[in-house]
Amino acid sequence: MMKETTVEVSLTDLLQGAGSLVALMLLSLSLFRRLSFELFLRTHQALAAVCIYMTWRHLPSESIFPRVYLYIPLAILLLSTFLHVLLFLYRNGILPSRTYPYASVMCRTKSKNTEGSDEGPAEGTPLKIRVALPKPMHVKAGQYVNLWMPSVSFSSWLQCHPFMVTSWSPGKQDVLDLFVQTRHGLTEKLRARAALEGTASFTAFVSGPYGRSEPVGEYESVLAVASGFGIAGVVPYIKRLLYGYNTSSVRVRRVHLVWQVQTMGK
Amino acid sequence: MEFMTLYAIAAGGIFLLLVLVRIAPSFKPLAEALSRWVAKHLAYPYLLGRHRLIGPWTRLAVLLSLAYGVINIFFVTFRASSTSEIGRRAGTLSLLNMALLYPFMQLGLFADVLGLSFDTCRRVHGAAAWMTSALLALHIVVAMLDQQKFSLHEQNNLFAVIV
Repeated sequence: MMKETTVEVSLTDLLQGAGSLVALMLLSLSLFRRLSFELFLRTHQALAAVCIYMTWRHLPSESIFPRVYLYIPLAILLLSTFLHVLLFLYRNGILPSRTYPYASVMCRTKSKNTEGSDEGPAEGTPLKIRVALPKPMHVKAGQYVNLWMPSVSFSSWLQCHPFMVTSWSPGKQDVLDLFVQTRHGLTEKLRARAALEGTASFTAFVSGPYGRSEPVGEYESVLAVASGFGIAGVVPYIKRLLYGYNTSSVRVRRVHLVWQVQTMGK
Repeated sequence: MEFMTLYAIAAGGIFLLLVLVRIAPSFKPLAEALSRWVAKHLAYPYLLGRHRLIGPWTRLAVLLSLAYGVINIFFVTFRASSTSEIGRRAGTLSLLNMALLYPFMQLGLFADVLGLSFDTCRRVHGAAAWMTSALLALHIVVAMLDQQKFSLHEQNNLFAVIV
């Protein structure tokens, strides 16, 4: 049992513990997520750590039992993080030291931009990123990779963004093509750097591939619907289907592609 | 349980597994029909369309959320003898739900391991978080009610309010 002196200590704990949980829930609202996702994510993780520590302190320590409910998920988390990091190091050629993967960002330069009406000047500019991998990677159609490009800007080492892989090949790929829509944060910086000369190269670490791949080859008729940049998610499937059709390895007979775009010139 | 029962269970399990592997293919048409039915009537139709703050909710999502809630309420209240028992159970259940939250740290990886989509995983994480908070709120309320009965300096009471 506790001594009297701990009462004051636990009062501050009370404020921290309850506060961290309330903050955790409040900050998870979509309003804060949209404000700054990176800030939200790091705060979320930090508050989760505070929360787990407070819970650990609160649980009775006489027997191991209630605390096991904390140890097991933490062990799973640690193990999966460890394996993930190992895989990441291996994939990117860091652990058996090789050349780092790099990404070439391609963008149309301003002078070449023949389109007069530039209503959304930066936002919505298509970028093409080619990632040269130190180790070939097998990416199924419809999967994405997370890209970490620490050298792009001051805050970019904190950011890791998912991008759809548009290239597809039946085997492993040495080079991944990504098709990117310019938005506000990192992609805008990439565009600004690439727009100067039309291309720019950065060190880029890849994690993944993630995401499910639908078994499109099992159907005779395939209908694909995409709008704008959503085409990035459809292109690898089309490539896969065309390859399968030519090699008679899929059932597909008809493919309908519906693509809605705002302006054809973009 | 007797020690030798383990051997019996292992031996029986091996035979059962072989039989299951043998008869599994004949259940394939049934499973396909079932998954088509679920997709047609539960997974694709929306109960609530897309709105500014909530939605879209499919019928399946609503059903599963309800089931999740009902199961938790059942475990908290089933044959509970007193309010403090309910509070204690709510605390443990809240802890169990919280345990579900932590492996989601690498959402993309976890989604692939489970074979779910990223968005589904995010929603499961959100649902578990709301459940944890609700149970915790119940735990705190009950603990506060109990505080009037017990001494204030006891460890359980104090730390019950903390988390």
